[in-house]
Amino acid sequence: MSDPPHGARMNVAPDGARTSDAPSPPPVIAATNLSKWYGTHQVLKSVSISIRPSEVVCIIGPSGSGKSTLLRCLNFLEDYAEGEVRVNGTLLGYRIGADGRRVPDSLARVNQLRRGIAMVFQQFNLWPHMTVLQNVAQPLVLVQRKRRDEAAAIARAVLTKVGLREKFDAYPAQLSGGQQQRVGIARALAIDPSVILFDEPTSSLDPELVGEVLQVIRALAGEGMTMAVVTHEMGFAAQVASRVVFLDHGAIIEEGPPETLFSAPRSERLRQFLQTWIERNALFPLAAPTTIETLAS
Amino acid sequence: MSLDTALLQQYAPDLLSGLRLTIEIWLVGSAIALTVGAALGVPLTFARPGLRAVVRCYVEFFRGTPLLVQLFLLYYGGPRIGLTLNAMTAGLIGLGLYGGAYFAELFRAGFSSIPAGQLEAARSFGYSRRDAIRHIILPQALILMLPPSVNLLVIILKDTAILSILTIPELTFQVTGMTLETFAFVEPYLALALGYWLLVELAARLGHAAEHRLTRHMVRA
Repeated sequence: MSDPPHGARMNVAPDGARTSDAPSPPPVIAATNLSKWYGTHQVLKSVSISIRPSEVVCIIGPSGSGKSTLLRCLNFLEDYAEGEVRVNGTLLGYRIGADGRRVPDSLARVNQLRRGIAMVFQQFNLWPHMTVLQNVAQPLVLVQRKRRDEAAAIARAVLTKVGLREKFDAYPAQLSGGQQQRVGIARALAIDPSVILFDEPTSSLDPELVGEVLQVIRALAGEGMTMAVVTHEMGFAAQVASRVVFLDHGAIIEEGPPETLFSAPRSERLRQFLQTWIERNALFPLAAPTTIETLAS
Repeated sequence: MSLDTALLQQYAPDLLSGLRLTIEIWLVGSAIALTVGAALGVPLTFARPGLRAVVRCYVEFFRGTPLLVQLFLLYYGGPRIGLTLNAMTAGLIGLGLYGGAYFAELFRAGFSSIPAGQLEAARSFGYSRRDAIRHIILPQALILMLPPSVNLLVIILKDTAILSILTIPELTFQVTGMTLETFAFVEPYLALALGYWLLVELAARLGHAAEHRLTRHMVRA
């Protein structure tokens, strides 16, 4: 068996990771006792999660565990049946009516709160009829009501930051998957969000393009960007996360700093899950260490 | 077979005025159809189920019955409910409502063909519904809709002939009058067929040019 993901290397806090024992400021986004059903199937079971300023919270778990649903509830792309999501303390998606019961909030109010939350998607979800620059600048013009030249200047700056200075006028279809996802990240950065939600940002990329996207996310972590990342990249989670949350069957099984979570899982379920991952990487002894070292570089 | 071109020359003024009226009816009827189609296509795709069902009923009725029958109902049945229309107004409205049902389906298909993720991205960035439809969906959907729209416009053009039954003096009405007066059938109907064909070719070519122009920036994925 090759190096497990909880080797000594993982315990050395990389520059991107943050310690969690600092006095905690109020969370940017907090979900409390969130429950959601699709028909009779409960996809989220009283999940509570909070993301504090400059934290990088990685959400891991098997497929169908509710990771993406949870993330999507955090900006109300999905509604929820019970519990609440608060953005900087304000209830998202609902308001409390005169009778004390909650009623769906207006789209305008939801959108107001969404201004501080940016999302990066697994399938990038760029707009193919617009150039890279337009993709990044348009939300600034339409939602933040910025002037066109101002929006373009911001777009150029964030695109340069993610290494796409040469691609301002390209159309998404002319870019590689990794480049497209970096446009997605630039589009998120441009709105100057207080938190970015990543929904499996590398899952639809060719293996050799994963690194360039993770590199960008790592750099953002290093700058103190607040992020929640649903991911299958354990090596990345181990290195960059300030906190890792393990979800299974719609419930949080375990959460904590990556050093303890990966090296000393308390629950049998997490142990199993990590074991599968280790074994899969052990099948290709060269692949596992290379991935981790690439990330560490 | 010899063609009596003198006959056509003799009736040229009638034929030309009929042709002009046919073009006018086509343009106005298509404009109504497009407007109705766009107005119904949005709820047909995005509205909540109740409203969508109402719009769906409209579309099914107008697609499910012949234009001729719809025109009769509107023109002869209208006065019963206090809706007395002259032949031209009834014809234009009838053509517009009929074509509108087809356009509504076309808009729905166009809107639905945009991957949901693109809309979701717009939602996540706080786009209003209006902005999302206008800036994300429409620009892409319109390009997809162009070839079938040209097809539909061609069908509407040929269906203008049905308005002759309401005594509207468009091309088919003029030609029918000509045959009744001269008992010549081949020349008039041949001229009629050629007239429609020319217009259809013109429309198809314009559509092709528009398609070419609209997609010149596009990269085919």
